[in-house]
Amino acid sequence: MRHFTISGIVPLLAVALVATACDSGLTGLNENPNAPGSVAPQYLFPNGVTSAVGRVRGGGFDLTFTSLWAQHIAMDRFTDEDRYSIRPSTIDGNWSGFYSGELEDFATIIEQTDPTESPNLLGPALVMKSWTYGVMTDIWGDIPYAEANQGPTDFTPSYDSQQDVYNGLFTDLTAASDMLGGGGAGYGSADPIYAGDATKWQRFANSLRLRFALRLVKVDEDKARAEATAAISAGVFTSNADNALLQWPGDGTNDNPFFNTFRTRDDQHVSQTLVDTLKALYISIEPGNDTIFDPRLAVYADPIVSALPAIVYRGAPNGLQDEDAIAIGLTNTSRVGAAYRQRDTPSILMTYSEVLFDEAEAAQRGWTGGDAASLYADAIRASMQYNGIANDVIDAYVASPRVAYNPATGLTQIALQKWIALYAQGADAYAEYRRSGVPNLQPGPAVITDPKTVARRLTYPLAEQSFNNENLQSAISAQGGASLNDRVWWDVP
Amino acid sequence: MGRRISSVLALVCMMVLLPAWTAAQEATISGRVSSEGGLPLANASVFLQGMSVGTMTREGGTYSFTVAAANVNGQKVTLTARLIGYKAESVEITLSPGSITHDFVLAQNAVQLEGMVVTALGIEREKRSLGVAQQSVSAEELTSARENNLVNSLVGKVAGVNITNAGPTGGSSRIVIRGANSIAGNNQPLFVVDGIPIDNSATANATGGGYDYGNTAQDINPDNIESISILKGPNAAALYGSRAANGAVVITTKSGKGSSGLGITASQNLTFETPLRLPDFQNQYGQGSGGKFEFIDGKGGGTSDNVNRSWGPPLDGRLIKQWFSNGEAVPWLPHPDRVRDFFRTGRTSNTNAAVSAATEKADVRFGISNLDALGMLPTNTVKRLNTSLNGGANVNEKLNVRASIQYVKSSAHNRPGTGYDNRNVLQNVIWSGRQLDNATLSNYKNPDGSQRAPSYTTVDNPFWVLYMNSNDDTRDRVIGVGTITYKFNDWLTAAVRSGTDWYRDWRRQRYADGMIGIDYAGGAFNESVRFNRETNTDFLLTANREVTSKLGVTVNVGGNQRVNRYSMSSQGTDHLVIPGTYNIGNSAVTPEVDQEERNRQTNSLYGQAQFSYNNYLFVDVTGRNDWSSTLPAESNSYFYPSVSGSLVFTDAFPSFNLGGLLTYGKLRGSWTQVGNDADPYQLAISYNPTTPFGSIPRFSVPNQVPNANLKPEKTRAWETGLELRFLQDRVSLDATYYDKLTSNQIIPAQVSGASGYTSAVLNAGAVSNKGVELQLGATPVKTQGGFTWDVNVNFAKNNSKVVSLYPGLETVVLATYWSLTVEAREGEAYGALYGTPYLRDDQGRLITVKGFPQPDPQKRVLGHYTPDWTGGIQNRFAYRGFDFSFLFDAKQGGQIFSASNMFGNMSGVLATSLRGREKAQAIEDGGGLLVPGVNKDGTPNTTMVTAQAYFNGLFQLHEPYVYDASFVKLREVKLGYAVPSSFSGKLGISSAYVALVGRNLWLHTSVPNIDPETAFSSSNAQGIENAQFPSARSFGFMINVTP
Repeated sequence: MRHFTISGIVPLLAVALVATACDSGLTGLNENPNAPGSVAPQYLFPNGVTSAVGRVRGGGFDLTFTSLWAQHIAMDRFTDEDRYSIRPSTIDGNWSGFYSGELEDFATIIEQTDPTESPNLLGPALVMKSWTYGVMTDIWGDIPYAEANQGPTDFTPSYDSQQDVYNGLFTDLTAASDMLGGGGAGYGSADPIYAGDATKWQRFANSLRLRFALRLVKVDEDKARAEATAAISAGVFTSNADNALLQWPGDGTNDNPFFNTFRTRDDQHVSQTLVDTLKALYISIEPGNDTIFDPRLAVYADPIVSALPAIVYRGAPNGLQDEDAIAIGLTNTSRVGAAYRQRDTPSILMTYSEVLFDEAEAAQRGWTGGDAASLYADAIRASMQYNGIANDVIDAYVASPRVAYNPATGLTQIALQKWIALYAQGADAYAEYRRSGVPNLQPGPAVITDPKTVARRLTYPLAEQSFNNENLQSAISAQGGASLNDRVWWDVP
Repeated sequence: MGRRISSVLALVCMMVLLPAWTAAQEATISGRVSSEGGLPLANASVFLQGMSVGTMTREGGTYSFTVAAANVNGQKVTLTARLIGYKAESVEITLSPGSITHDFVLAQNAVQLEGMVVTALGIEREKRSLGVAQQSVSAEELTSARENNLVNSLVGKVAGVNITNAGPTGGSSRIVIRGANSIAGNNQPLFVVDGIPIDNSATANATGGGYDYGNTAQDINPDNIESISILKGPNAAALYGSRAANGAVVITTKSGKGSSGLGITASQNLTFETPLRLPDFQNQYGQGSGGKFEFIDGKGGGTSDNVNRSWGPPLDGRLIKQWFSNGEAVPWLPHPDRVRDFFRTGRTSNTNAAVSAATEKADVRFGISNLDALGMLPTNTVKRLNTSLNGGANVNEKLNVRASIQYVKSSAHNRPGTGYDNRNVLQNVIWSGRQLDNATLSNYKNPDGSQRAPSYTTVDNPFWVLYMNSNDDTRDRVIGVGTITYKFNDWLTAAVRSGTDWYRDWRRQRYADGMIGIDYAGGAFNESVRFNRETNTDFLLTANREVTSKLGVTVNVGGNQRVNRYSMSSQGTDHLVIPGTYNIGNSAVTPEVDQEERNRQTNSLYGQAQFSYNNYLFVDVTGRNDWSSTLPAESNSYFYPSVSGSLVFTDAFPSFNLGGLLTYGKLRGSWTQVGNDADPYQLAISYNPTTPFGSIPRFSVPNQVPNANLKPEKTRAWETGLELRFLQDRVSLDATYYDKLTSNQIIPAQVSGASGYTSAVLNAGAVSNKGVELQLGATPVKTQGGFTWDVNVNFAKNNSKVVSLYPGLETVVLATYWSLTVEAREGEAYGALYGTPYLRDDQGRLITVKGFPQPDPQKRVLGHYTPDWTGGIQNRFAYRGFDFSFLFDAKQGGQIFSASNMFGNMSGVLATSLRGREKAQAIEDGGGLLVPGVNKDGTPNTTMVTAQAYFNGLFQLHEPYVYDASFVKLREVKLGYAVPSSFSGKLGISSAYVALVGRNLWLHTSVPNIDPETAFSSSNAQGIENAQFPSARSFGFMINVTP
C-alpha cells in the first residue's frame, strides 16, 4: 500500500505538471485586470479637454513662458525663462504632453467616430484639437500636424508649414461648425465646457476660426478676410454666456492650475508692464493720490503687502537677473489677483470679449459693415463684466479720453485693450502682441536674446533632436531658422 | 505509515535527544569544528575517506559518529572535515575501538575549487565537475562584521558582483553580476531560498522623492543562512531558463541535519553608527542674497527673508534681525556643526538564538533572530524579527520528507525622505542659511500649533518634518517549502517540491497640517497594502548510473509551474477636514485611491545530463522549455539550451605539474542561450482610468505603444575559466573570461511625442558585456606556532556596450534628472550620463558671455555610471584564538551626477561656493571671480562676476557636477578572540567568541561632499544623487556563545 502510494504519487504529479505545461489557460491570464481594452469617446473627451486646458493655462506653460513673454506676469526669482534662458526640460514636457496627451485623446475619438452618425461627438473633438494646435503653431511655427499622432505606424512625423497648419485649422473648424447640431447624441454631462450644448460648440468653432483668421492679417490679408467674414456669418459668440471656460471642480484633485502653482510657491508676480499700462488707463485722478485706475487692476493684481493697509499696486519687472529680482522683495510687488488663483477659478479657452475685439478689427479694416467703435466698447464691456466690474464704472471707463475710440488709432486701441482682456490667457496675449506690436513691450535688462529683443517664439524641444531630427532640421531650414529671435510665418514685421 | 509519521513528528517536535550509545567494539569519533576565527561551524561534514562513514556538525560545531565494530581494525584512516567556504582539513587517525577525539580548525577559503557546491535548482555538485563559474560565500562571512541587508554583506567578496547601496538602514541595494544585460528590464539576479525563488523587488522612486522601502531580499536573516552560492551568470543559471540571464543567488538555510544530539548557539551584535561623510560647509556667510538679509516675516517682507540660500551678510557677529529674535537685531554667527549635530549616533542590535536536534532519522532546527536598529536620523527605527523552522525525516529507507518555514516581520518607523523633496530633511540642509542653529530650530511649533520656521516659502523646518510627520511600514512574510524525496533504488530518485513566498506589505504616511513646501492644508495621509505571492511547484527525477567503471551518467528531468500574483491598493488625501484625524472619511477633497493587480504564470520542463569520465573530464548538457503567460499565445514557448565541460588536467595528465608547483588544475568552458522575461500586460493597449473630473469619469490613451508580437529578451553567453592551486594549496587562482550578448531587448523606446506616444515597446537592440574575473587566495605565512596570514583578492573588469538599438533610435532614456538623462546610448557603455557641457571654442577654451560660462546647446555624454573595474582585498591573520581581518573594496571609474553639489553651490552653503567671495561678495568690495575663458570674438574674458551669479548660472550646466565616482572603502574590520574552553568552561559555556567589528570605517574618493556609493533606488536609474542620506560608519562588538 505504502509503496503503491508513494511510487504512484510522484509520477502522477510529474504527469500533471507536464500536462499543464502547454499554453492553454496562460493567455487569458495576460488580460489586463487594471484597465479596459477599449473605451467610448465620452471617457476620452473630458480627459483630453482638461489635459489641454490644464497645460496651456497651467504653471508649466502659461506661467513659464507665455504670460511672462506677454509681460502679464514676471518672475520674482528663478528668472530663467523670463530672461529667455530656457531649461530644456520645460519645453520637452510640454511638447510631448500636447501630442501624447490631449491630441492623442482627440485623435483617437476622431478616428473612431463617424461624422454622419455622431457629429456631436466628432465636432467638439475637432474644435478642441484646433484650439490646441492653434496654441502650438503660434508658439512654435512649423509643427508636425498632418502626420502627427500616427504612432505606431509613424514614429517620425514630418513637420507642416504653419500655413498648412492654419489651412487645416480652418478646414476642421468649418467642418465642425457644419456638422454640429446634426443628429446623434453629444457628450452631455461628460462635456466639461458646454455640458453637451451643440450650438455653443458651433459658436466656439466659428469664434476660433475668427481668432485664427485675424492672426493672418499681415501675411495673407485676403485669406484673413475671407475666413473672418465666413466665421462671423456662421455665428460666433453672442454673450459672455457663450464663453468657453473650464470650470475646475476645486476638489483637491482637479484644481485651477494657477492655484496649484501658487499654493506653495510665490515665484511669479504681476508684471510691471501690465500694472503700469492699467494705471495709465486711469478713469480719473483724485486728490490725495486716490486714483481710479482701470478697474481690472484690482482684479488682476493684489495690493502690495508692504504698503498695507494702503492699497498700492506695483508690478515686477520682467527679465531681471535672479539676484536683482530677489532684491526687490516679494512684499513690494503685486501677487496675481486672488480671483485668478482660487481652487475653482475657471480657466479660459476663449471669451466673448475677444470675439468682439476681432469683430471690431474686422469692421475697422472694412471687411464687414459693423461699427468698430461700438464693437470696441462692447468688447471692453464684456471683458469688464466677466471680471465683475459694475456697469457705471464701465461706462465711465469707456468714456474716458484715454479709452474712448478714435478711428485713427483704432487698431492700436483694439490691440491694447485686447492684450489687457487676454489676462491669464498668455498664449493668446503673446500671439496678439507679436501680430500687432501692441503694447510696445521692451526686453528686460538680463535677457539673453542677441540682439536684445522680446523673444518671437519658443525653441523646439531637444527631444526632437534625439527622436525626429531629420524632420526637425528640414523644418528649421524651411523657416530660415527657429531661434528665439526668428519670427513664425504669420509674424510679419 | 500514519503511526510512523506521528512518531517522527514527535521526535522532531520534542527535539528528543537520543544519547549516542557505543558498544565496546565500536569506535566513536567526536570533536569540534571551528573556524580560524574560533566560531563554531555547524553543518560541516566530517567523514572517513573511502569508508562512507561520517556525519555533520551540529549547531555549536560539535560532531560525533560511530564506526561499526566490523570496520574497526586498528587501521590508519583519513578523517576529513569540510564545509562550503572553507578549506578542507584532513588528519590521519588510527581507527581502534573506543572514543577518538579530534577538533578541526578550518581556514576560510574565498577561492573554493573543490568540494560540494550548490548549483541551479539546488542540485549539489562536486565543484570540480562544473564547467561554469560559481562562488560560495560562507555563513561566517555574512555574520562577522554584519550588514542588516544580506545583499550588502556580499560587497567586495565576490568577483564580478557589483553592489550599490542606496543609503539608510533598511534602504535598498542593487546587485548586478557581470554588468547589466537588459536595457530597460530587470538586471538583478534571481534569489532562491532552499530551492524556492523569492521576491527581491524594491519600492523607491528612481529619481528620489518619497521613501526608500528597501529591497525585499533583506528579509532573509544572515544568521539563518548556511551558505550562499553565486551563480555568476547565464551559464551557471541556465536551468532557470527565462530567469537565468542575470545569474542567481542561491541560498541554503541552516538545518538540523547532522550528528545526533542537541546544538544550541546564541549571539549578540551591537554596533553604533555615525555619518561616514557629511558635506563640507562654509561658515563665512549667512542667509540672504547679494550680501543682504533682514528678517521681517519670512515671506519676502524683510530683506531676502524668503530666500533659503547663504549669500547674505558675513557671519561676523554683526547684529541682524533674525527669524527667532522677535524683531530684535541679534548676533549673526555661524553654527558649523549644526548638520552633524542634527543626527544622532545610530545603534543596531542583533540578537540571535538557534536550537537544533537530530536523531539518525530526523532532524530539526529552530532559529530566532531579532534586529532592532535606531537610525542616525532621530525618530527612525528599523526592526526585523525572523523565526525559522527547518526539519526533515527519513520516513523509511526510501522516503524522505523535508520542510522549512520562515516567518519574517520587518517594520520601520520614520524612514528618511529621499531626493529633492521637502520630506527629506537633508533637502532643508542644502536650502538654508548657515547661521541657523539647532537650538532655535528645534522649537518648531508656534503656540497656535502652526509651524515655526526660518522662512515661510518653500522650505520647511527640518525638526517639524521630523517630529510632526510620520511614516510607518510593516511587512509580514512567510516563505515555506516542502519536499518529498523518494529513492526508487540506488540510482533513481524522484523529488516533488512546492513552496511559496508570500508577503503583505503595509505602508502609511502622515503629514501634519502646516507643511510649508507642500500644500497639505488640514494634513494629509496615504495608506497602502501590497500583497505579493509566488508559488513554485516542481518535480525532479534524478538517475545516476555508472555505465562503466570510468564513465558515469547523471540525468535530471524536471518540471515547474510558477504562479505570481501581486495586488496593491492605496487610499489617501492631501487635505483633511479635522487636522489630526487620519481617516479617509475625514478627507476635505476627493480622496486619491489606487489599485493594481498583476498575474502571471510560467510552466516549464527541463532536463540535464552530466557525463563524467574518470572523475577528471565532465560534460553537461541542459535544456529548458518555458511557456509564459506574458507572451503572445502563438509564440509563448521558448527553449533555452546550455552545454559546458570541465577538465581537471592535473588528474588527466599527472605529469603536467610545473615541477611540482601545481597541485590542481582545471580548465572549463560553457555556452548557453537563456532569456529574460517580459512583464505582463505589454501586448495590447489598455486605457488608463484617471481620477474623475468632479463627477465626470475620465480615461486616457496610454503613452506607450504596446507590442503584440513580444518575445523574451535573449542572452547568448559563453565563458571559459581556469582554476589552479599551487604550492600544496598555499595559492589558489580562479580566472574567468566571459562574453555575453543580449538581444531582442524589450525596450520601451522613447519616441517623438509627435507620434502621439512617448514610448513604444520594441523587441530590438543588443547589449554586450565582456569581462574577466579573478579570484586569488593565498596563505603567505603559516607557521608551526599557529600563526596564519591569508589573503583573498578578487577583481572584475566588465566592458559593457550598447551594440545596437532600433533603426533610427539613438538612445533609450533610463531616467531624467534635472535635465541630465541616464541612457542606454548606441555605441556607449550602458548607463551613459548625457547632459549639458560647457560651451567651448575650437581650442577647447570656455566661451563666456558677460563673464559667465555658457551651456553648450548640444548635450553630450559626460560619463557612465558603470565602473571600469571592481575589486576587494581581504587580509586575515589568526594566532592562537585571536583573529584579525580587514576588507578593502574599490570601484574604479564610473561617474556620478551630484545634484547635492549643484544645489549646495547654488544655495551657497558648501565650502566650494566660497570661490569668488573669500574676502567679500560684492565686486566693488574686492569679491567676484574671473572665469578663465574667452569672449565670442576670441578675446580673453575680463568681466568679473559675483560668486552668487556664477553658481546660479552653473545650474544650467551638468558638466561641472559630473564627477569620477571611483572610491576605496575600508569595508570591514574585525578583531576577534575565541575564549579558551578552559576559561569558558568555568562559566558553564562550551565555547565563546568575542569580537570588535567595524564597517565602512574609511572612504577615499575625489568626489566632493558626498559618498559616491549612492543611489535613489535599486532600479537601472543609477549615477544620480541629491541630498543623500549619509552612509553609516559603524563600529561595535559581537559575542557568540554555545552553552
